[in-house]
Amino acid sequence: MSEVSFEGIRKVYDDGTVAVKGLDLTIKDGEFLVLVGPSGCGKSTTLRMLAGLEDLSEGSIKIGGATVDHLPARARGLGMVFQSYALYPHMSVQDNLTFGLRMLAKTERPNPQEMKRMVQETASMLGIDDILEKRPRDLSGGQRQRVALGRALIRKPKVILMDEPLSNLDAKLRNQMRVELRRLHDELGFTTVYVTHDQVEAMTLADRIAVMKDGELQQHCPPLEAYHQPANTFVASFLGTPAMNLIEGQAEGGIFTSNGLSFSLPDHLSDCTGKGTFGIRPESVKVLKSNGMEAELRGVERLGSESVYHLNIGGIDIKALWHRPSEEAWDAEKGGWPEENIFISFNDPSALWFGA
Amino acid sequence: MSEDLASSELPQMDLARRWYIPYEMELMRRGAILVILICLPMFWIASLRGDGWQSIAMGLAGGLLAVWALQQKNRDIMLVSSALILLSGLMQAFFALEVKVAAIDVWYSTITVALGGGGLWVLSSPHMSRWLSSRLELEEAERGLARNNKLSPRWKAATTHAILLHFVVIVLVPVIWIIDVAFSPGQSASGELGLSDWTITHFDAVLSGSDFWTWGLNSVIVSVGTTIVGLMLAIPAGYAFSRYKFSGHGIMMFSLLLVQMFPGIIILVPYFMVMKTLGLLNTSLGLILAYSVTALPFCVWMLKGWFDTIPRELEEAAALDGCTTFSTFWRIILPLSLPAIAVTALFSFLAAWNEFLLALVFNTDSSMYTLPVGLASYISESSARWGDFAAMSLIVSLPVVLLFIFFQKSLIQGLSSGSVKG
Amino acid sequence: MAVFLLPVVSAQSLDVQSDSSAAGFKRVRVSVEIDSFSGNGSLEFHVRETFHSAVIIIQGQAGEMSQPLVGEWYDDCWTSNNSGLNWTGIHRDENGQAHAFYSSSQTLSIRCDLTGISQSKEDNLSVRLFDENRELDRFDSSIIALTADILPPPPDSRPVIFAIGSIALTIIALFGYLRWKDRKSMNRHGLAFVLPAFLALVLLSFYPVAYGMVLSFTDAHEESIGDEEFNGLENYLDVFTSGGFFRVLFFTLVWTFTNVIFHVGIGGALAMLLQQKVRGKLAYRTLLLLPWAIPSYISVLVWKGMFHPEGLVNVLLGTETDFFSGVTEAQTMVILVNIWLGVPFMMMSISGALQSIPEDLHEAAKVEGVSDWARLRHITIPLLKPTVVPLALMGFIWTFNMFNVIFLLTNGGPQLWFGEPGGTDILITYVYDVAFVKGELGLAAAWSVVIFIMLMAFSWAYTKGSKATEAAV
Repeated sequence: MSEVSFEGIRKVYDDGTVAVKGLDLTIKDGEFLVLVGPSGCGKSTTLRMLAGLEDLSEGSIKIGGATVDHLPARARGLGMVFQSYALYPHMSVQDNLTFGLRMLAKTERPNPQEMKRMVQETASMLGIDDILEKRPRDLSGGQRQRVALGRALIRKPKVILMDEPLSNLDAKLRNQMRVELRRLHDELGFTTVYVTHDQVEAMTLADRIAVMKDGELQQHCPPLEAYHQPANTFVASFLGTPAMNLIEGQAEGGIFTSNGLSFSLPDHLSDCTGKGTFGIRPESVKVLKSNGMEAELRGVERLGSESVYHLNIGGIDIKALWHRPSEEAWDAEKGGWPEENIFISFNDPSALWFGA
Repeated sequence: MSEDLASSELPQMDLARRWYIPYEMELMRRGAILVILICLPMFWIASLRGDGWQSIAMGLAGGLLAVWALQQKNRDIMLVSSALILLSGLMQAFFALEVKVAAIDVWYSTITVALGGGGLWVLSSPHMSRWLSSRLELEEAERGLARNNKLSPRWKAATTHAILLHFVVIVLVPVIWIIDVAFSPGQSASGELGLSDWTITHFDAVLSGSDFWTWGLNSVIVSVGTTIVGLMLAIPAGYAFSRYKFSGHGIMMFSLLLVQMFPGIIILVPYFMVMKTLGLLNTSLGLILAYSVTALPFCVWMLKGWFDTIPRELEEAAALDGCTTFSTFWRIILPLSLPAIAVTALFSFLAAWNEFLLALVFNTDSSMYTLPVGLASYISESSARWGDFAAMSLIVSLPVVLLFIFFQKSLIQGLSSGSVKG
Repeated sequence: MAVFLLPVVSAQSLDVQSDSSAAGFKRVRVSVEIDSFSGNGSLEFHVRETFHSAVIIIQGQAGEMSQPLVGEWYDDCWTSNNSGLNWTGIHRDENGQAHAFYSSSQTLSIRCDLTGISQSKEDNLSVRLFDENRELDRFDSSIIALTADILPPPPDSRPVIFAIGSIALTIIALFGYLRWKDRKSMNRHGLAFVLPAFLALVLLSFYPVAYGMVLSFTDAHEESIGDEEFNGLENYLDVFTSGGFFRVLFFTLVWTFTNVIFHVGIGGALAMLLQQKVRGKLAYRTLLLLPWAIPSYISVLVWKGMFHPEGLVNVLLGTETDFFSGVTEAQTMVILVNIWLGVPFMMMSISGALQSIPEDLHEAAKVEGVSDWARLRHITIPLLKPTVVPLALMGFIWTFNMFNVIFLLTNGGPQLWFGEPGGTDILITYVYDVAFVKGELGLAAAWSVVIFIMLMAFSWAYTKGSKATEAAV
C-alpha cells in the first residue's frame, strides 16, 4: 500500500521555465528509489511535488493507489528528511520528534505513555536516546541527521522522502550513514524516495535508480543495469568514476573511425554502422605491454589499489584504469613502467555503441 | 456508508474527502473575523455620536455567530449569520442616509453588505451544501482540491491586498490632508478637502519670510555640527572597539549601551542648568553638544559592526607593507568605510534635524529656533496658521522622507543590530 | 525740549522737563516746576492718554504722613522747595497716594520717576495742574525710556567648569593608567582612539545624570540658579504626595502598555501579511513606512489639525466630538496617534525577523501534518520571540518617554485639576511642566530620578522574566 506512481508529471514555473517535462515513473512498494542527476535536473522539484510542497502543472501522483495531486502536504502522511535537517531550534530533540504527534487532533493523538514508548523505540533505533533533552544547536551534524530521520520515522509513514540528506556530512560520516540508512530501510520496510547528485550514493543505496537530466527521465532501472547498460551517453558518463570514455565517430564495416583514430570494433559491435559514439569504461580498456594500439602516456595517478593512466591516442584523450591483481603488474609498476608509450586495446565485451 | 466499499478504495475516498475543505470556508472565517474587528471601532464611533449602535450590534452578533457556526459546520446558522451581517450593513446605510452620510458609514455598509451577501451566495452553492452535509463524491472532492490550489491563492492575495490598502489609506489620509491645506487659501484647519481653490500663497509666504530661512539655517548648523562631531568621535571609537581588546573594553561598551537606555528626561534638567550656567542656551553649540552625545552610542555600534566585517588581513597586509596604525586607518580602512559612514552620518543628521524636546527647552529665543520648534510655534492655542504650517511642513518633510525611503534598508539593519544585541 | 505755556487765566506756569536715562528700566524722570501756586490742588500725569498717577498738593504741614524710601512704591517722587537744589521724598498716605506739602510763597517742584514707559517708541505725556476745582495748566510732550534692563548676573560658571575640568582630567588619567596597564600589548593603541568619545560620553552624559541626582536634593529654581540649597528628601516627598501622582503614573502605564501591545500586534500582523506572495510588496512597504519617515512633530501637529472639532476626523466619522475637551476622548486620541506613529518601525523589525526563519522549517512542519494555525503558534511565534522580546522592551522605554505626541497634541490637557497633571499628561510631559513652566528645577530633577528608577526596575524585571520563560520552554 505504499506504491508511488508519477503519471505525466509536468512542472512549469510562472516565468515559463519547465522544471519537469512529462515524468512517468512507478516506485514499488517498499522499494528504495534514488532520483539522481546533476543540479537543476528536476529531481528535487519532483520530490517536492510528491511531498505536496510544490504544485503540479500537469499529471497525477498516486500514493498507495490514492490520488494525491492537489492534496495539501499535511494530508499525505509522508515523512521527509531535508538537506538542512530543518530541526526546530527552539525545541528539544524529544519535542522535535513528537511535534507532529502532538499536533494531531485529540482523537488521534497517542496518549503520553504511548508517545514515550514511540520516542524510546525510535531513539534507540537511531542511537539518539542519550540526547533527548538537548537542543539542535548543541548537536553534531551526524546527530542532527539522525534526529531528522527519527522525526520522519516516528509516525511510521509508508513513504519516506529524503532530499540530499547526507550532503552536509563529512566523508567518513557519510559512508557510515549510508550503510545505516539502507539497514533501516531494510528493517522497517518503508518505501524510500531519495534525491542526490552523488552517483556513488545512488549506486550503493538504490534498489532502482532514476537518472534525470533537464527535467527528463533518462533511465529507470537497477543501478548495475544502468552502469553496464546505460540508455544513453549521459547516463553512461554520469555513473562511474573515472567516467566512461566516449568517442564520437563513424562505424563502417566493423571499423570505427574518429579524426585521427581508427580501430576495429569488438565483435559484438561489428554490425554497427553510421555515426555514433563508442563507449568503453576505463577499467575495460586493456593495458598491454606490447601488441596493441599505441597511445601516448600523458600522466599516471597511482592510488595504490589501482592506477589511472591518462592517455592520448590519435588526438583523443582516454583514461585507462588498471587494478593490480597480479605480481607481474606490481613489479612492472615498481620499475617505473610505463615510460612513454603504452599499448591498449578496446576489444572488450562491455564496450558500448550509442547510435546517433 | 463507506464501510461496504472494497478495501482498496478506502484510502482514496478517505484522503481527498477527509482533507478537502473548500477555500470559501477559510474566506468566510476571515470575513467573520474582519466583521468582528470592524464592529469594535464602530461601537466607539456610535457612542461618540450617541446613536446608531443597534446596527453595529447586529453586525457583531452576526460575526460571532458566523465564527461559531463555521466551527460547527452548521449551514443554517451560517446562513442566519450572513443575513445578520448583511442586514446590519443595510441598516447602517439607512441610518446614515437619514442623519448624515459620513465616509465611515459608506465603508462599514460596503464591507458588511459585501461580506454578508458573499456569505449567502457561497452558502447557496450546491457544492457547498453537499460538502457541509458530508455528501461529497470523491471526484468532486478531488476537483475541489484542484480548484482550491488554483483559486485559493488568488483570493488570499485579494484579501491581503484589501487589508493592506486599508492601512495604506490610514497612513495617507494625513498626508493628503496636509497637502490640501498647504494649497488651500486661509489659515484654518478645515475638514473639507477640495481641489477647486488651489493656491501657492502659503509657499510664497513661507519662502519669502525670514522664519523659514532663519530656522532652517539653525537646523542645518546644528545637524551638520552634530554629524561632524558625532562622526569624529564615533569613527575612531568604533574602530578601536572592533580591533582592539584593551583594558576596560567591556565596561566602556556597556556604558555606551547604558547611555542609550537613559530616557531623555533624566538629563534634561541638569543639561539645562549646565548649559545656562555656561551661557550655552540659545546657541547652536549647546544643541550640538547635547545631540552628539545622544547619537554617539548608536553611531559607535553601527560603525563597529561595519568595521567588524572588514577582514583583518587587510590591515596585516598593510602593516607588512610598512604602514603605521594611523596611516592604515586613514588610507585603507576609511575609504572602504565610506558607505557605512555615509549611512551613519545620515542617521545622525536626521536624528538632529527632527529632534524636538531639547531644542524646545534650550533655544527659547525665536531667532534661535530650530525648524521643529519653529514649525510647532505656528500652531499655538491662540492663533494657528495652518496654511503656512502646512506649506513649511511639506518643504521640510519631503527631503527627509525621500532620504528615509532610499536608505531604509541600511537604517533598519543598523538600528536592529545595534540595539537588539543588548 | 521746548516748553509750551498754555495761556490760562491765573497766570500759573508749569515747567516740565523729562530725563529718559536717569530713572531706570522703563522709567522716565519727569520734573515739574510750579510757579505761584496757592491753596490745594493736584498734579496729574497722563501717559498714552490714560491716567497714570497723581500728586496731591497741599498747602501746609505734612503731619505724620510717611515718606517712603526709594522703591517702596511704584513711582518714586520727590519735592523741592528750592527749584531742584535739594529734593526730599514725597509723602504718601496709607494707600500710597502721593502728597506734596508746601508753604506759600515757594516755588514748588515735584519730580517723579514714572514707571511703565515704553522703550521702543515714544509715549504721550500730559502733565496737568489742577486746583480744587479746575484745570489750571497743562503741559504735553512725549517721552521715551532709554535705560536698558539690568539682567541678573549670570550664574557663577566656575563650579561647573571646575567639575568638568576635574572629571576630564580624571578620565584622561584613567586612560593613562589603562594604557600603562596594556603597555606590553598592541591593544593599547585602541585607547587613544576611544578617549575622545568616552570623554564626551562621561562629560555630556554621566556627569549631567549625576548632577541631576544631586540637584534632586536641592531647591533649585529657574529664577535663582546658583543659589540652590540642599533640602534633603523634601522634593521626593513632594513627588510622592503630590495630588495626581498616581493618576499620572496610571495613565503613563496605560499609555505605554496599550501602545506597545498595538505596535507589536498590528506591526506583526502587517509583517506577516507582507510575507505572503503579493504583487507590489515594495510599494506597500514603502508607503507603510511613511509614518516613521515623516518627522514626528509634523505628523503629530497634522493629526492635531485633523482632530479639530470641525476637522477631517470628525467629518469622516460623522461625529462632532471635541477630542480635546474630554479626558477619555483626549486619551484615546493621543494613543491612536502614537499607534499610527509607532507601527511602521515594529512592522519592519518583525518583518526582518520573520524572513530570518528558514523556509524549510515551515515545510517540515507542513509535511508533518501541522495545520497553518498550529504552525503559526508553535513555530513562527516562538522563533520570533528572541527578536520581539527585546524589541518590546525598547518600545516600552521609548513610549514611556514619548514627549512630542502628548506635548504637541494636548499639552497634557484637558487641565481639569489645578496645579496637578492634566488628563493626558504622562510623567515626562508633567516633568517638563514642573521644570520649565513652573521653574522648579530641583523638584523636576527628583521626578526625573523617580522615573529613571522606575524604568530601570521595570527593565530589569522584564529581562529577568523573559529569560526565565525562555529557559522554561
